[in-house]
Amino acid sequence: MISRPTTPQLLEAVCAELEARVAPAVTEPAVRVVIDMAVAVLRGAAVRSANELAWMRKEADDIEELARRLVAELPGATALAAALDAYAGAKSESRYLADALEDYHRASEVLSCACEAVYADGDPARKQAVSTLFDQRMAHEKVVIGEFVAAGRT
Amino acid sequence: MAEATDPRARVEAFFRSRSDDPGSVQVTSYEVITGGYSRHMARVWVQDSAGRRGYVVRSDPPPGHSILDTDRGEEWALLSSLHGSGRIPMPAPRWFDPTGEELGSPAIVIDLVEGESLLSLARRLEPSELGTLAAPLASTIASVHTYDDLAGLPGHMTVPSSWDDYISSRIQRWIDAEKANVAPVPLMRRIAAWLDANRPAPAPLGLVHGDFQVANVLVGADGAFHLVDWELTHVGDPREDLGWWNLANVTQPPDVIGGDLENFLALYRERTGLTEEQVNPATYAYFTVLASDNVFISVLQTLAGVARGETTAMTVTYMSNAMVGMEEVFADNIALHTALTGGVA
Repeated sequence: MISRPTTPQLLEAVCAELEARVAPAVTEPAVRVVIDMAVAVLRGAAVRSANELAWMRKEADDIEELARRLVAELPGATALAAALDAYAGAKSESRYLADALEDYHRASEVLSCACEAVYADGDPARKQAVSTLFDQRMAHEKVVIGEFVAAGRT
Repeated sequence: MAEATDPRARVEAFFRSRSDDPGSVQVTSYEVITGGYSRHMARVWVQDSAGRRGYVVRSDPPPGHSILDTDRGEEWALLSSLHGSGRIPMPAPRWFDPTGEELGSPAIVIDLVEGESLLSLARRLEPSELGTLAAPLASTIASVHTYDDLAGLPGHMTVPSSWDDYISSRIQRWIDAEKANVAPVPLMRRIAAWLDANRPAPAPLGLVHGDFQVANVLVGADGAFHLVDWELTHVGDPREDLGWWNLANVTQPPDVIGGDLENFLALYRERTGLTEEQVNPATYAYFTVLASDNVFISVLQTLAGVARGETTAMTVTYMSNAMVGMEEVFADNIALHTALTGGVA
């Protein structure tokens, strides 16, 4: 496998050509918008390819850690306990994206259940702890997208 | 004669069949309007022996290419009803091709508003001049929200039984859509929990435009405002429109009302009779989150089509970026609402 140029570098090269050579030659406004959208999607994909496995693992680890604490503190949070069990029982060390995604999805269900549990409980500190996990996820997504401006809207 | 497949030729044939002097009909300009993510739209100028007139043809894109699945027949019925009332500032709906037999896909033809979008006007103004748009904008949306002939609306426009039931159903949509999605989206479950824990004072249910945003307000040559794009219109809480305006503005600067929100909300209250308890910056933030379900969930569902390999349409694929932009607005408005009310974040 040729590791350099990296996937982000390959995608950036495609974006650069689309912007510098293809887009100026396109006169049809609707097609031009499609190129703008494609470049935005490719740039996001470049960032994801460089980071997403690490991000998913880090988020899942942090979710698991908080969920274990919440399960100990909130005996009535049965849905959370079940989701955590499902996550921990199926956790994989695989480095294939498909396997990492399955882990991440199970961790996401744990996060959803944690959120519902802390809203039901009402304790501000617990809500803040869950909110921090959402902030972490948002920060990663923001790095992927950057500033979103609707393409084609004038 | 061979059937026309070129959109411009189809449109010309369409107008010929509706003219008293078909031989004189000519489409002198056919321009695709960019920026619409749900319908295919074209600005068309038609010349015949009676003169020159402009129209917008609003049609369904090919399956899998739209971020929203709505019904043109329902939209046509609503447009006809609202325009017939003479109370809503909107361009006249003229013709409807329900099957697409003539225009290639189900399509509505409406009068062209000669002028510009409020978005392009706002971008030409100095920031200090944006405030001049607040009063006409408040009047425009108030004309929708004070529309009182709900019983006279087309049959598909159901009137909810109560405000509480309606808000509960909107909250439940977040939960149901998340569970049905191809992958978990914890933010949606958080939003549902937050919306439920922070219900505002009720307001009378009324007509909601459903996609009230700067790109859907047209400014005629006489300066009058006209509302377009009624495919998401429903009966609900009128404050949904204010919230959706707020969210949509984030991606389409400048924010026409955000610079002096209190002033806009005061103008809006004056024109609708709603109270300060019902309409204030905190409810504005609340409905920014609540009202986005129509678009957020529709986009989520169409993106699931990409994940399942059912479509590769770029407009749909690109929406994965928009989702993140929307999520950021949710987070900001939840934080703002909490700061304003001391409520539950």
